[in-house]
Amino acid sequence: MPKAESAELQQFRSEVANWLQENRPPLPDFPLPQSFTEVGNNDQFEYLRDWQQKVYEAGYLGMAWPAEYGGGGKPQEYQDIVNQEMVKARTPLMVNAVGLSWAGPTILTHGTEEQKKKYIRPILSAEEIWCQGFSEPDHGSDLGNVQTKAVKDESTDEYVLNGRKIWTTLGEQAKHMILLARTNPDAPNKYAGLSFFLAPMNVDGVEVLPIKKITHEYGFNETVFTNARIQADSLMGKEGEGWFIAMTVLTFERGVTGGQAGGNLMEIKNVNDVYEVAKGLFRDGRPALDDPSLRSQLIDLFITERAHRLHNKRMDHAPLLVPERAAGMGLFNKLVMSEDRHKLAEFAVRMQGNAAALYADDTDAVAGGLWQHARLAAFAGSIGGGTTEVQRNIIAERVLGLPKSR
Amino acid sequence: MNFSEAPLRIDCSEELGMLTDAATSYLRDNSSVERARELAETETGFDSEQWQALAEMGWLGLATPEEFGGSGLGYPELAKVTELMGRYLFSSPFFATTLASQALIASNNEDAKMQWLPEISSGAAIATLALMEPHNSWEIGDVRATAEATATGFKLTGEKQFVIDGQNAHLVIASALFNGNPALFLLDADHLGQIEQRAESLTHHARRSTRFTLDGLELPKSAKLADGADAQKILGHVSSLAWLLLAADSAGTANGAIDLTAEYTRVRKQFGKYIGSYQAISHPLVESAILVEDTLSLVYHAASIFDGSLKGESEIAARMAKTRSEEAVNLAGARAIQSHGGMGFTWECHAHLYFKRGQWNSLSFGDAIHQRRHLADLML
Repeated sequence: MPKAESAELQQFRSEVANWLQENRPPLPDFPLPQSFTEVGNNDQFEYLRDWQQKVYEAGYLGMAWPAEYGGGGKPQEYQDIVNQEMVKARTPLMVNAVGLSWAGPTILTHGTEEQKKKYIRPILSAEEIWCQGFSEPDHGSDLGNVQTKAVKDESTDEYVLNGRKIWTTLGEQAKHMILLARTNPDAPNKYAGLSFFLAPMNVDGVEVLPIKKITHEYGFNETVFTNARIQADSLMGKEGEGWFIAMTVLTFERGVTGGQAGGNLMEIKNVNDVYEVAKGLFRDGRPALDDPSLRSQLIDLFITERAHRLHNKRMDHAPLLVPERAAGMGLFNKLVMSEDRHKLAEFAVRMQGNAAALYADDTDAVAGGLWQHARLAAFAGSIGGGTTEVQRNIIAERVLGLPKSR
Repeated sequence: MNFSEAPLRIDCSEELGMLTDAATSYLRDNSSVERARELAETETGFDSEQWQALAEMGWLGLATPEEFGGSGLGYPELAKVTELMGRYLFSSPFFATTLASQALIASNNEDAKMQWLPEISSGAAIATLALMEPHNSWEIGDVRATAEATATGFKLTGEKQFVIDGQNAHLVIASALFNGNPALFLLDADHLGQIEQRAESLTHHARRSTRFTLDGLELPKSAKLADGADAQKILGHVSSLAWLLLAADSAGTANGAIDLTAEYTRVRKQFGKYIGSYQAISHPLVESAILVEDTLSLVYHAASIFDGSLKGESEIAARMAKTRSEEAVNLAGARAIQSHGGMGFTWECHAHLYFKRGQWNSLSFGDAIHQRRHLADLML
């Protein structure tokens, strides 16, 4: 039987719910992004940064991180409750997502005492924004092939960076980057030559070039390093440990392990939101929801959403898992979540009929064109952080035990 | 109602943990694919010694109250045993007998319960339901057979189709209209001796079912299990349990198909590489596994909240599980055949056994098209 929540936790849950209702910021007069990867301008950024700061100051972020570095030092259950209540209340998202979910946990796992003291608190308070420098223009899915070079200058105790990183979300706002770079081009294999840096962004030779997305917006960037000099103590771990540390980051990124600071990183629109919109729609002069084909498709979306919400509950019970694949359940998460976004947005657009052709800035667009935008934005989920195809390869190999595909 | 915020629950008792271990070892050791093939060639389609073994393990009364000789466990336990039977292609009248016991349990007919449930739990009686008719309808209340009152009881007229394990059964619970509404009647060995059952030829050759006519069959008054609202309640209970159990069986069957396929693609080479390394082979297999996981989550949620009622969450959950299970087992089964190449098209290759079992599960008690239509009416 599932454990009932203790009286103390129930009390805490209602405190959080009340706090969120009383302190949530008023809706701005500009549209808010649904994911931190969609932050497209400074108004959005400042609004979200203020909100994260407020949440941290109330003690609701990093609750399970060690208190000596700025966390709350409490059991994970507390942060889980906050996360759930944020999703339920649909409060704005936590903008410093790379810091909270990837850089922070990685620093807590592999960082020195000094690094933990320096970086963790400003991650939580959103004073210092983090970005990620993994992918390169020529090496998207093949992360092990990173070519950006970091050459040690012993005379100044610095590393000199040269190369290009791409898809740098929040690159313009970030103060630091988790950076994967090549320190030894002659290493016995491509992985052994990589090192991991906590690199400052505000040094000479670092140039951030905004990239326009298929949604018409900006929000991610190309970062160009031209003889950029960073202090040698920016290195995390030792030279050559970069791949190992990067893999830790990916487990955090793909949601396989715990350890993240918490908070909601996306504003999740669900199938019920689509259903609400559908109720008011007409196609060919008839209510859209009279159409048997649309009804059937909508039901499938309800089934999918429910199944994926249920996975976490089933994972608590070993006898209800497929024994050979029990450990793989977590790996399914990123894949199915991004696929679900596609299916939901695609349906939400197609159900609109001819009106589906209108985009987000047209005053006649259904639901403000939210779903037209989401239909395009969904590709960020199925490409970023390892494409759907790469995720399938990983599952095939690690969960189903199939031979390697390359 | 906001269905995205419906409270979701999955329960797992200590007994379920132990049962899972016991059922896994029993079925793994006693139901090889080769054994399933042998049984498919026999007349009854099952092994009576194994049936007694199931009785001794308490499975034939798994969810039957202890006062009637059962084990007194719940729906998640039933689902788990059924899932594992699918996984190991176990052939027996377990599904038919379980549904018939549940029809008795859901009734208010204490005499019938006392008479039949202990017999069923002990393995002495195999039981089944006769609900389907040749007019091709999955609507369980769409009954055309009729029962007329006579001085001594009832006289039946009509046809029954897809009576699962009909030729193996000592008890058949048949539906027929009585006073214009579906009622349920108990047909024991004497009655069954008076009608001729024709074995149906099924795509799933390991299954057994019969077709028969009820015309002229006379039953005593005591043969009526239920009518009116009682019969409605029983029909709702058994049909929603059937959706749930068929979904569990399909999840297991799909898992078996995935394992078979994965194993083959690890050893079979073409163009100098193991075929499992080709994404055209591996990615659909991943897709199958994802659909199986969906199905399992839906099945154990449906089993946890199951109360046999219609129009509410219990019905919705069971129909959802049935719908997704069809997608899972259909893809996993089809990919098993396709991934074996030319061998997959042969009778000798095991792949078609999984495919056919899945297809039978999908077609019984309403396919996904039928389920989605009902779900839409319930939810939208």
